[in-house]
Amino acid sequence: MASSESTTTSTTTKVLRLKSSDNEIFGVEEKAALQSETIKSLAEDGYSEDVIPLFNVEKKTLAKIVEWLNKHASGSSKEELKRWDADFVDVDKDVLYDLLLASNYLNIEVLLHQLAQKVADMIKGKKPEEIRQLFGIKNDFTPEEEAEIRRENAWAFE
Amino acid sequence: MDDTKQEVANTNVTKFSEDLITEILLRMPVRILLRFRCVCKAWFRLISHEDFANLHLRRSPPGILNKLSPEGGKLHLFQMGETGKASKVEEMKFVPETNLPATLDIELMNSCNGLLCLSEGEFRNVIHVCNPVLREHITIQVDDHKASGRLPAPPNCDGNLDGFVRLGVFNDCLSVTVCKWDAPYEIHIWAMKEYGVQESWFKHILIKSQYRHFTFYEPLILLRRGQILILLEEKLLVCCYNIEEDRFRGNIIQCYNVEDMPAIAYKPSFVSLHHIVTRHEQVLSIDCVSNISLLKVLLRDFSQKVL
Repeated sequence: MASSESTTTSTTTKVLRLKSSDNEIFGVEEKAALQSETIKSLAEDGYSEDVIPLFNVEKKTLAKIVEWLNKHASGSSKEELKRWDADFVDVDKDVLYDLLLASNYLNIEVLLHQLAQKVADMIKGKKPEEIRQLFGIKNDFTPEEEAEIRRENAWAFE
Repeated sequence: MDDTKQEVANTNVTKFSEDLITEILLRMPVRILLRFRCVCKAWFRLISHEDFANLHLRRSPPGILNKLSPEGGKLHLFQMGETGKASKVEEMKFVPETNLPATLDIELMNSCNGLLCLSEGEFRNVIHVCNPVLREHITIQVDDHKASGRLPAPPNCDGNLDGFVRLGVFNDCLSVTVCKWDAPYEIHIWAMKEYGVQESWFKHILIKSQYRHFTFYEPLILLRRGQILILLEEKLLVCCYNIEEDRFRGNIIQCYNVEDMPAIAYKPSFVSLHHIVTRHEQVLSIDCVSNISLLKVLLRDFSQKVL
């Protein structure tokens, strides 16, 4: 079977079509898109020939995600990626939260790590009151309980 | 439960699942998490949960604990990045009566899995296992030789330990460091991956050191990329040594104490003795003033919920 197929090197790159919750369609090369475990399993389930619906991601967020997927499949050097990633996560907090939710939903582990680290760095210096406000959390401790926990931890802040 | 509608914030942040909150909190140092325990009950329970404690411990950067002043018994914690660079240093002070049992002649023995082992008494036979972050400890009285069984020696060391031999803890495993008199430039580090199991002795690291004038080496932590933190005796330095390059990469910490064991590897953790101790040992709180019953109730409620 020594056939001479040397000329057929036209690598047909398969493109997956991703649809945002607000019906915008993004074409992404398969190699890039499959960094998302969620897209991967949807593609395996037979969506790949058609449009893959991503109900939880809006177009403005999906556009950013697609940008990240493409960059991370482009074969850039480690140093360049590091710099690029630092710029990528340097966004205002609403965008950051949207990206974090989307990367969690799409199950893109590397991106999820980067974004979680960014949020962690952002809130590290905040007071518990500020955290509650930021995350929309209701303080369900009684004043006595809260005072007790604060006293328990006071040594770490002397 | 009085779970009235929460005030809705303007952002998607309120949609964060517990998994996502966990992802964020896992990246926080212990000191910050202590403070965040009073954000709300859900966060308190999350941070106090055994699974969280274990995940957080695994993720924490390596730390070195050294005795700052012998009389005060204060301990300093240093944390550093994976590369062993000293730049990222955090400090915590562990003080008797606040974090450590309040006894006079307490001595820091070693640490593994986020817990400290301290000894006390003329024969060093009163042992405290302590989590200074959670301020918990248990006390174990070691009677004579009853408690101390024999452990299997590393394969190659058997019968030929003519040299400097030292027992320690390396990467949370019991370790033996051997430097034979007839080959003083070689250091053999053995660690027993599974405590008490002969077959689990692993890693045989040979160091052909340029630092010949040091008579004492204590391996502390294996970092990524073949780097290892070592305590060198004479100048009391914690150094970073690169196994692949056979090269020291500078000092991490200069210790100020000239006692036998000036520094150990230690990671501060939320590993609670309540999760570990099952039988007759009683977990004591170091702070007798505080109302720990409250914290216990909160935790108990939670474990019931989970089970």
